[in-house]
Amino acid sequence: MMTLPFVLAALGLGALFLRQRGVALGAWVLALAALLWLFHLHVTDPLPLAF
Amino acid sequence: MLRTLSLHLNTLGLLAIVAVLAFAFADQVIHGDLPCPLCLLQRGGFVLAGFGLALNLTCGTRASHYAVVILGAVAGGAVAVRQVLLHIVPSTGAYGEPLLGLHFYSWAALLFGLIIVGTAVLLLFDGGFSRPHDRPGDQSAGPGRLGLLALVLFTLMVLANILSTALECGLGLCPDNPTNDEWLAPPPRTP
Repeated sequence: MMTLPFVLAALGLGALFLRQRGVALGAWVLALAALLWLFHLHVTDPLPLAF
Repeated sequence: MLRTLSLHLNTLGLLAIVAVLAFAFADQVIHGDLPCPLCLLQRGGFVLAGFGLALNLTCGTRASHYAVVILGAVAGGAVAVRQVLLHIVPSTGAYGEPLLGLHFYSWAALLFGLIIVGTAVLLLFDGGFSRPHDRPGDQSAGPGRLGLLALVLFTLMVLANILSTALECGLGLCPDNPTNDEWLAPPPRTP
């Protein structure tokens, strides 16, 4: 699952080489969403901050 | 003139991102330091930011492509800052060995900030954008040899990260402190 942003970015780059800008942008949006989702899943520990 | 300069700067930016990804990858391979999940997501942030530069090189420079760079850098920067905050209190440990006094996630936070500022500076120059009638594939809008090289190297780095991440994490989520590759040497199962 951690490969998802990279896989989507690779698909987008493939679309770029084929000059499919819309497809590339769509893949990038999905990659960004995947990255943020994985970030959410890994933000589990509380920050050790005390004021 | 400005458009050519803009393309050159995009090429240099993409090569810089390739260098960052290659350095992190080399550290992983040479020193055997497996990247943590947040480290992998920071690499993803660099890839997402570099994607905007790749868009500029292949489809012409546009403000929307610079927005792609900034959004990717903000996402990666958020991950890097989160990891900095995890270790900011003294005696709370750190992940990995420092480089020139800073850990990789601190460097990443700085670099993402630099990417955002650099992109904002490029956005200042209206003459650096492609004209509406420029079509992808025109000689004037092409990436040039160095740009093509940057694109190929960037794609190779993305593919290498797919492979290494799959080897390390398998099909699921990565453990917070990975000690071995999931697919190459899976941990022994406990009954």
